[in-house]
Amino acid sequence: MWRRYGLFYIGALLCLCAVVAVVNGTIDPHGRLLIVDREGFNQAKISPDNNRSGKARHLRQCTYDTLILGTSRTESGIRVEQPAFEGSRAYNGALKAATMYEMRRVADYALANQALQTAVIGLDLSSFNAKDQGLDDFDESPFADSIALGAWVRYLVSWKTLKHSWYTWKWNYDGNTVTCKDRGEHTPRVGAQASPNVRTAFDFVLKRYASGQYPDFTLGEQHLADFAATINTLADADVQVYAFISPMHATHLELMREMGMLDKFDNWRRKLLSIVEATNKRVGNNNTVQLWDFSGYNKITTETVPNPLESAVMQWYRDSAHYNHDAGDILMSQVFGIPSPEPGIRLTSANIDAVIAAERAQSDAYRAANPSEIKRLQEMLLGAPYKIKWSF
Amino acid sequence: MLFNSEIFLFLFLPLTLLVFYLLGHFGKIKLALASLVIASLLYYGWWKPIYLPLILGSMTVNYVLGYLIQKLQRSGATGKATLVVGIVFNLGLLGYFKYANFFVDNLNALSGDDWKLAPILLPLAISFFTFQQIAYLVDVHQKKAQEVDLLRYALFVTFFPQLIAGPIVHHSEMMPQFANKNIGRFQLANLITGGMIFAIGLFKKVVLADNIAPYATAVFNASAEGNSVPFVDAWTGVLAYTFQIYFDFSGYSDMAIGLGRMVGICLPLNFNSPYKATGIIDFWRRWHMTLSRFLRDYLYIPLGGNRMGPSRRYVNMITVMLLGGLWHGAGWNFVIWGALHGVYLGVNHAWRSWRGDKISHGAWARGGSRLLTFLAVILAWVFFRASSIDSALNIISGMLGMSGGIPLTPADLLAAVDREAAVLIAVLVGIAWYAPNTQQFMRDYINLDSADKYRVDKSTPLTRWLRWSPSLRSSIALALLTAITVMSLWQPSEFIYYQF
Repeated sequence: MWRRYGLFYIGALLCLCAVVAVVNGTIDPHGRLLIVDREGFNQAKISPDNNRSGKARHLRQCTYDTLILGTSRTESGIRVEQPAFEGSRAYNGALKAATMYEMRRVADYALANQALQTAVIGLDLSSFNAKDQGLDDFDESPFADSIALGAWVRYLVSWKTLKHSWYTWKWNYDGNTVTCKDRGEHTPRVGAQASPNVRTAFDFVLKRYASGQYPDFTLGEQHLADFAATINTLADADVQVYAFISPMHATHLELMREMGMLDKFDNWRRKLLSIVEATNKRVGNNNTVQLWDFSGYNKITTETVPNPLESAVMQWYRDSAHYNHDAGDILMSQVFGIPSPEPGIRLTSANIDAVIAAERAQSDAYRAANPSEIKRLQEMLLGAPYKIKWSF
Repeated sequence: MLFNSEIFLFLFLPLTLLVFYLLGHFGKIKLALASLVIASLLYYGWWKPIYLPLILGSMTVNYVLGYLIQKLQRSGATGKATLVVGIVFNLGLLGYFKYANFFVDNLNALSGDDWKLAPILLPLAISFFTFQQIAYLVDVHQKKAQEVDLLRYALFVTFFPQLIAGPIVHHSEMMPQFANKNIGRFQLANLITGGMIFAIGLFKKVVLADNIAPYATAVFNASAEGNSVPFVDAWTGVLAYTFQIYFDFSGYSDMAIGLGRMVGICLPLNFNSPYKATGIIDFWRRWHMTLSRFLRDYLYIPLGGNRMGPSRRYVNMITVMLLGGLWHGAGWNFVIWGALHGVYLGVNHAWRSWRGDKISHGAWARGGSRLLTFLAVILAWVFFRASSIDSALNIISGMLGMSGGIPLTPADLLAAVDREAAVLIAVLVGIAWYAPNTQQFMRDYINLDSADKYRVDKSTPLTRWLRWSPSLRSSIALALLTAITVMSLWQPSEFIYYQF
């Protein structure tokens, strides 16, 4: 009796899982297998949001000549329709919480599917954290260079995939075909962005970095190697590369200063620059890869943050790390040589020391002019666990 | 390592069972038990190996103290001083790892000083294995337990199915089973019955608790960030948490019992449809039953219980519940949660003293009692879940409509409510209130001890119809349930009770 029950149970379980796997594998809503690719059935993939699989689908099925890489800051800050990209068709392939390895894989995937002419890379220190491995949905996406057996099982025997299979089939059944309207722009749900005031969003993101990303931050050598590989591969494919360091709000820079992160930040910038210059030297063109720095103190980054009780919207920022489209337009204008307020500077080995020294002085001036912001940061850090020291 | 993680389900558990039964098959009973201890320590150390010496040290010290008490008693002494040393040792360990920061923070707040402690990461399961070993020492002192076998004692403390979040077991429940000469002998019935109980628990956790959790998280996070929470959102979030913790803990308890059964060990019931309770006294006989038993036997009764007059009884009750709240976590919100339950219990006992228990016999009265109990419990959950008292009060304001958003018409309600959340909550209410629980479902095969058998609710036609037996119909139904679970398995989340 027990043996028969066990066999029935195992048999039924395996059959049910196999049926689900076959359905998911056939409809393949994330475009991972591409065994069946039929119009009216599953050709137009529908991803519920701009996840890794959705972006891979766009890069496979549509045509672009400009690729934007980066993290959520770039994803929500750089729009594809703006003066800098006039005459070209840009796609925002930036990914939330992307590591440099993920950006490298997106670049490789785009090069394999597109005739790229230009690449824009938004660089954030957090993408180079040695301990950061990125988000789970990367392994399930076509961006992953190989997929382990476990990831196949997770993709095929999955309720989430089954739901997406249903949406995909319904979408195709209703007569929808491949569409390239979505070009990767996305406003991520970062922390308290839905909050009634920007200050709450600022506090949320600052706290998250203070307790998550920055304590014990270690610059990943492999991440730097991934950056080098990315720009070298793009340069070898005759793609013009504009890399830029994202403009964080001054409060965010001051948080880094309070946490003793500035030396790491400067070291990172110097390493990026040496990689860029080595690449340019190798390809014999000093302009093939350009590194721009928008992280300093300027009119955009020193914008006043509203008080907690104000519901005012900021002109340039969503929170301390995420700038908005208007700021993004200005950055791109400067990079692409369109007259603009010029908040940043192209880094070279000739000017990097002066840039860093000037920022220190600007930081001092900002602190002197905004003591309440600094006090607020210090109080916030006192509440963060990393500050507490042994006293037993 | 979580019960719902891939590494546990597809590697740790099959390997542990294989080694255990292979050793048992060749008659190596001691080695089979040792393999369970090693597996349990591996399971424990997987999270933070640095805390392995802690549990090993705690276990060794308690074993030696238990041995000393027995030896002293054999020579005519009482062993009371040794017992006190043991209790101080255990509470000291718990106090340092769980309450030191809380204590220092409050000391600073009172004195205005600025004492600082390094952040102390709470070792997994410390509240559970500490309580279990205090109970052991007390039982040894009272001559209800005696142990000379270190291997069996080690298994009693570390047995992985119940190590992290209970049930809190008595020495007397486990040792006879570990000493059973048939332990390690493979029985397909045990494996299948345990597997089915485990599968039901996994379904509760992965499919029910984890799917309702985001609605609770969204509301409590919004409140923690200082946002006001409108009426419908507040109720959605609080009800979502009410069912998240219910199915999370119920699922965990089933999984623990199922895992125990897979190796031929019967663990005590820990969860018995608490939202069907018709009073708070009844609730605490159904929710975390082994903790209630511990608090009753080792705290409430030693404090005097109900033997020292009604007023002292109420004081004892509230004291026990305050400490029970604090046991769950070092925070004032847990203290308030415990205090609320203490007051509820006091009111319930006062009501019984005044009116007797007759009111619960009428269907309407029983329904009303159940609803009132349910509302009292969910109000207390707000403090339990919120990250601060301010945040809890903010949510309660929302529930009372003080943050606006009270729907005045059905159309307003439909517009305000998240339909997916509402459907899910309605389904979960139905399951929690009307569906048979695991012990009713598995009644004929679950092997409860006589006390637990008495606690299982009476059968109804529905529960009789749904009762499990090893038939073709039930194999297909449970395979379907398991398939849905497996398909939802790939992003395991921690059990709520792991943090206690």
